[in-house]
Amino acid sequence: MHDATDDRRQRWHPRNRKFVAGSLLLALLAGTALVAPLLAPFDPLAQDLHATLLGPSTAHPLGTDALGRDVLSRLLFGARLSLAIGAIATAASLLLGTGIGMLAGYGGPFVDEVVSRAIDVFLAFPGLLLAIALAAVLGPSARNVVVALAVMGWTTYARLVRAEVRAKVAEESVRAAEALGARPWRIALHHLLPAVARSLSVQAAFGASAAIVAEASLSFLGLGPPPPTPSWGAMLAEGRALLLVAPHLAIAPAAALAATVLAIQWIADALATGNARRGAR
Amino acid sequence: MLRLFLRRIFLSAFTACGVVVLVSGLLAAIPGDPVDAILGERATSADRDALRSSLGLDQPAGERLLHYARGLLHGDLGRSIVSGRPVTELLGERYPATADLALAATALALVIAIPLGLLAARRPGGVADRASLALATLASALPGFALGPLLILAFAVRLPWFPVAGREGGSSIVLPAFTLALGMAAVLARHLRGAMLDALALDAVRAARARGVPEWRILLVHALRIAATPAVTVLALQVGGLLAGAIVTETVFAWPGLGRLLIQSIGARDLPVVQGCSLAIALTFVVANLIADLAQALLDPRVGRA
Repeated sequence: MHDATDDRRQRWHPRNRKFVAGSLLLALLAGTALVAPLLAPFDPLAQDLHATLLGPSTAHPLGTDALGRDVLSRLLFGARLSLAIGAIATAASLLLGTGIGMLAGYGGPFVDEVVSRAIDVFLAFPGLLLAIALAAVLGPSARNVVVALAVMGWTTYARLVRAEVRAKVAEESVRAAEALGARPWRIALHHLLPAVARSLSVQAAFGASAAIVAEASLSFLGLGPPPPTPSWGAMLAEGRALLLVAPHLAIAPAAALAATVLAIQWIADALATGNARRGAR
Repeated sequence: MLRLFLRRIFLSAFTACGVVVLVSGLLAAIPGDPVDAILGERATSADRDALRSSLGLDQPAGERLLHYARGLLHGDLGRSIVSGRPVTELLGERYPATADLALAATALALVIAIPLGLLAARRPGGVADRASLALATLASALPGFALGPLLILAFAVRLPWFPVAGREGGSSIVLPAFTLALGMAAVLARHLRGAMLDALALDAVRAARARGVPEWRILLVHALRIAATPAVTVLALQVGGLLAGAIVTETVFAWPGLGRLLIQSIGARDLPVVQGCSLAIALTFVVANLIADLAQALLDPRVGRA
C-alpha cells in the first residue's frame, strides 16, 4: 500500500537530496555567472601593475594575479565562459549526434554500416585528443572550442540514439505507421524521438559536465579563448606556473570547477537513477 | 572463435586507416594558408616554397594522403619544422616516458583500488565503502590539471617530499602517476565493489562460507576470482582515459613524454610533429583496445558465442 508516509519518506531520500542540492548549486552558479558584470568588484581585464600577486584581502577577496587583475572578478566572468561554452557545445553535439544516430538506426543497413565505422574511427582518438588536435589546427578562440568539442562529443549521442532507434523500429507501433504510409520524417519525429528523449537527456546532463571539464582542459593547454579572456582553465595554467609564489591563484579556479562539475553530476545522477527506477517498474 | 578474432582484427585495421586519414587531413582544417599559419609573416618566399612542397600542399588531397600513408608504412612521418629531425625519432625518444607514466599509474590505481574495493564490499556502508564513494566523487570533480597543481602545492612546495616537475630522480614519477591514477582508481574501486557484492551473494560462495571456509579466503580466493572478469573489462575501458589524461598530466608536471611533445609542438606550430603525436597516441589506443577485446574473448567464452 502506498500512503502519505511513503511520499514523505521519498522526498528526503538521498537521491532526491542530491538532485535538490545539485540544482540549487547549479542555479547559484548560473545566477552569479549571469549577473557577473553587476557582481564583480573589478573589471576582469583591468590591470594594476602595482598590485600584482597579492594574497586574499578585503579589497581583493581572492587576491590578484600576475598583472594585478582581481581574481574574484575573473572567476565570475570565467564562470560565464565555462557555462556558456559547456551548454552550447553540448547542444551542438546533441543535435549532430541525434541526427546521425537516427540516420544510422532508421536509414537502412548500408547507412548504418557507414555511420558505425565512422563512429569507430572517431572513438579511436582517446578522450580529448581529437578536440586538442582540432582546436590546435583551427586556432585559439571560443568558437573553435565549441566546434572541437562538438566534433569530439557527437559519437556518444549517436551511439545511444542508434541503439534505441533500432530497438524501437522493430516495434508494432512503428511498423503499423509505416504500413499506413507515414513518411520517415513523421515516424522519426513522432515515434522515434520521444522514445530516445529520456535517455538522451540523462546523457546530455553527463555530457554537459564533461564539456565544461573539456573546455577547461583546452584552455589550460592554451587552446581555448586567448588571453586576456578570463577562463578557469587559463587561470589554472597561470596558477600552475606561479605555484611557488602565489598558490592562491590555483586554488580558486580549481574549487569553482569542482563545484560546477559536482552540481551537474548530482543532477545527472538523480536523473539517471530516476530512469532506472522507472524502467524497473 | 577464430572468425571473431579475424573480424575484430580487420575492424581494427580499418579503424587505423580511418585514423591515418583524419590525422593527415588535419592539414586541410587549417584556416587560410597553412604555410602562413606555420611560418608567420617574416618568412622568405624560398622558405615558403620549401615548406609547401615538404607538406605536400602542391599536391591534391588524395595524393597527399597516399604519400603520408606510404611514408607511415616505411616509418617516415616527415621532419619537424622546428628542429629538422625526423618525427619518428622524436616520437621514439618520448614514447618511453609516456609508457612509464601509464604503467606506473595503472599499477598505482590497482594498488589503491583492489584493497579499497574489497574492503568496501566486505562491509557495505562502512568506512571503506564511504571512502571509495568519496574518492569517486573527488576524482570526478577534479580533473588532472586541477588535481595536479594542488598535489604539487601540498607535497612538493609545502612539504618538500617530491620534485615540483620533470623526470629527474626516482621519486619524480610519484605525483604525476598519482594524478593520473586517481580517476582510474576511483572507477575501478566502485566497480570492483559492485562485482564483489554480486559474487559474494552467489550460492557457491555462500555454500563455501557455510562449510566453514575462513572469511579472508572467501574474499580473496572465491569472490575475487569471480569479480575479476568484470573488473578487467572496466580496466580495459580506462585505457583511453589514461592516454588522454597523460597529455594533460605531462603538461602539468613537465613530464617529457608524447603528450608534452604534442602540446609543445602545437605551441611551435610544428604540424608534422602534431600529426605524428596524434597518430602515435590514437594508434596505441586502437591496439590497446584490440588486445583488451581479444583478451576478454579468451577469458569469457560467452563473448565468442554471441
